[in-house]
Amino acid sequence: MARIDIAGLTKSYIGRNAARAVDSIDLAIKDGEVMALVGPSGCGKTTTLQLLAGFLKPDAGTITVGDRVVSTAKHVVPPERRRMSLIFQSYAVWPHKTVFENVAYGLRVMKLSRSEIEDRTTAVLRTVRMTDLAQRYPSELSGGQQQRVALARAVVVNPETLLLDEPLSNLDANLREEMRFEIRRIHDTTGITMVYVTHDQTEAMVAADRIALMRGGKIAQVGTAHEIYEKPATAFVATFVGGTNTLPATLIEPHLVECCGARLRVRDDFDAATRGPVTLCIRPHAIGFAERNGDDATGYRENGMNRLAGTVLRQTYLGAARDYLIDLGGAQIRMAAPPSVDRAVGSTVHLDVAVDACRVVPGD
Amino acid sequence: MAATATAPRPVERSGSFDIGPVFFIGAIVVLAILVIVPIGWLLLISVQVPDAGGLTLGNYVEAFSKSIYLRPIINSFVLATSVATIAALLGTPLAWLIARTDLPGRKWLRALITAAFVTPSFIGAEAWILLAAPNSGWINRTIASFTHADHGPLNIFSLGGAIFVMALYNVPYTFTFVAGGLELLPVELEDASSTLGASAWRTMRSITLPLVMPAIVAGFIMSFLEAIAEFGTPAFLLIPARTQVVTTQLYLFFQFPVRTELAAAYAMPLLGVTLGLLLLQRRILGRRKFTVVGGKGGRRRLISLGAWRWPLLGFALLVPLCSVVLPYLALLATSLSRIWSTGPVPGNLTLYWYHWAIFDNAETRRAIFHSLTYGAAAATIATIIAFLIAYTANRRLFPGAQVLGIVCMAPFVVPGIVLAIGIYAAYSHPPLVLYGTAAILIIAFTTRFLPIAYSNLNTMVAAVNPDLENAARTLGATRLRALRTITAPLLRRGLLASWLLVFIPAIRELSSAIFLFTPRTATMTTQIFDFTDAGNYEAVATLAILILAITIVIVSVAYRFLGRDFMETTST
Repeated sequence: MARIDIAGLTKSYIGRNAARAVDSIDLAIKDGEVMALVGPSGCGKTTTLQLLAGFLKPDAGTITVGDRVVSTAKHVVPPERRRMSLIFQSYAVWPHKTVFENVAYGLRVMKLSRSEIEDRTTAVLRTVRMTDLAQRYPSELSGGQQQRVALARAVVVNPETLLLDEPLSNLDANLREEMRFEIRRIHDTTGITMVYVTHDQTEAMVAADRIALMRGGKIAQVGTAHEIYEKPATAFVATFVGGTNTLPATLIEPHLVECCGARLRVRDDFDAATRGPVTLCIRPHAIGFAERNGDDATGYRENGMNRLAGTVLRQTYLGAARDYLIDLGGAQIRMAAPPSVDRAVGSTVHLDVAVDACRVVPGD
Repeated sequence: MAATATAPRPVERSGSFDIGPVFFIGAIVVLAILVIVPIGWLLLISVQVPDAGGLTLGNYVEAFSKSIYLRPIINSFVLATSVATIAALLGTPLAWLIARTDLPGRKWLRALITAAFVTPSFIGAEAWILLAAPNSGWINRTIASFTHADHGPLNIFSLGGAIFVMALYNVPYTFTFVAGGLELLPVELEDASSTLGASAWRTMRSITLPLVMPAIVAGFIMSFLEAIAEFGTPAFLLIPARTQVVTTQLYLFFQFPVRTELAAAYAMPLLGVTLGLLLLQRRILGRRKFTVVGGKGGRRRLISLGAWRWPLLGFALLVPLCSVVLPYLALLATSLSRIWSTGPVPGNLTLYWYHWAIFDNAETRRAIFHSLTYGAAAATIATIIAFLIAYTANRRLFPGAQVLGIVCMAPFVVPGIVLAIGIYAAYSHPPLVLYGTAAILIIAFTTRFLPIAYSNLNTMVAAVNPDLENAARTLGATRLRALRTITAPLLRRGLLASWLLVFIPAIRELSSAIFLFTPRTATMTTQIFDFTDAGNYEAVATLAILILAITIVIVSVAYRFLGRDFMETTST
């Protein structure tokens, strides 16, 4: 149906904060793919979506859908001729129209016959399980039901692309789970290309085939959830996705860093051409307390483990885990230990981390 | 940027032409015809040599050097200052009595004062001619019958008379502003003073009054501006007394031979004073913030008046008595009398004049039709333009679109009579000769009340989440279609309210109509003017009652369907 190519896309807002909201981004979205744009607020993900939908004109760059150029700095195909549906954070369900009229609107615009409008609207309402509520007005619906109306309204017109702008952020946790599944199901039955904007990395991991992580108007990394989690390109990516400890370190030879007075081996998938200051990323749950067997030397050990020594600064019992903050002398590190492992605040502890869990990214 | 220059041109899927831009550009063109051209012409002709076209300051020299032209300026200033002072002195205690005390009948008093608000003061002037004309006025005759004098003591045809009538109809301005301020005033502010040992009187003087002072000043400015721009009342009460004010002098410039250039120059101080005072008022009201800090709508204690309540009720009734009860009774009685001077006695009572005005007399029949159709046309155009411009400005369809909003609001600072001069100057010669047509009156009414429609719709459009329109657009609707099927239906109450807020004043508009009508395009108000000239007060009263009846019916229907607050945007 539609692949989307974004090339050199740039957009600045005029006014006091004249920063580049979107700064020369390149992104290729495959036909039928669900691409999530993820990042903290102000990272440019919503502006990118508005540019994709045709509500904004780029300052530079192009957006191509299939073989059709839809946005350049000179000309923008208006939203109504892009065959992209958009699901809004606010749902934007029209309060003066019934559920049926909301969903049928796009079909009426297409000037379809009355019976075809009736059939397609009824069919899509069945898909989102809203048939019984077709004659209700939005004010008589719950948030989740309104969201389903918005979804039905967007897909009934068979768009080439479905854009979703934080579609679940106004729903409570249970509904969010259900709607995530709903959206994924719509995708799997229609094969529609989707661009999904969210600030919630878990949501992105569940809903999307690939994730584009954005920061400061630029794309920090693009990849599958697995790639982004396992091979973060920067400390920001590692921190944003899944959370991580970032420790200042120095690369002294390939795959060997010095950190907090210990020499540690790290994963060998880092291009070690640049020696000097780097950042060492270790996920909290990859750290465990070491067995006390008298040998307390820190650094890389023959059993494939790195050992660190520190003092417990704080511990919090969380039921499923125990959250520790440990001072390594020069840096602090958080770890998630099994709830039964209880070490007193102020006690000296030794930590073991597998080489595979130690990842080096360029120093920030 | 070089990269984009070589980029392939976007390919559009559908070749259909989007007529949306035509509409928005059309709205801007109409806005220019309504506002920019007349105001531009007004400024231009004030510095033009009559009939020649060269530039000169001669018009200004002539307008402001002759003593016969200076006298009306002084009169206008005296009139407006007196009206505003009296209105503020009456309106402030009334507001306090009704908003903060246990005065009996507060609800009724408030309704009566609102009734005075919707009564045009020139209709009040007509009624007071019936009540207090030197020889024939009913009050005068009643008094004379006791004193056996030739004529009664009152003479409404005087500067004092005009001040009296106009002050009555301006009381609602101060009243509304001050009552609004008092209702927002947290009662704790007064309590704090009382607990420190201040007497009730001292609390009022040192706490309450200073806090509502901005509202009083704002009311004073509104009354001053109304009085200085008013045409009808001075025309009815001062022209017979051979006393001119600026507006009646402008009218005289339009008698044969028409001296448009002189009138334009002469109108400039009016324009300048209005603009200056409105800016001042905006600053004062802008700083009013401090009065509403912590003003939550909790239940407030009313001040007990004790034994004073009955004398104070007498005072409070005095204003509505003079502005509503007596005038309405006088007009009603006159319209029902075959000959008004005989009075509403059996044998003289008849519906003759209503039958005459509505059915028998072609002139009045046509005038009623004109008032309603011109009013409806103006209301429709103003609502559509205001809506399109409010949308354009709010959604910033192009850089600088907000300027259009300022243009829409510009007529607010132009008194009706000055606007009429501009419209006359702009459309009485090629390329667009509209003088003598209905169009020029419709333009005048539309322009004059466009700011009401705009300020009303602007806040409403701003409250509509743009996502609602954007959703329609992603589904294939053009901007215009989204506007028609989503935004307009969502705002239907606001659009209807705007329509009424233009229609109601348009059917009562005299000051701009008087310059632009011809016998073929007379309206109810210009007929009232002509009948006054001819001394046919039965016809005047009948048309006045018809205007009031139409207004009351519309306002009460609107209250029912739109809620009580639909008129509130007009008061600020």
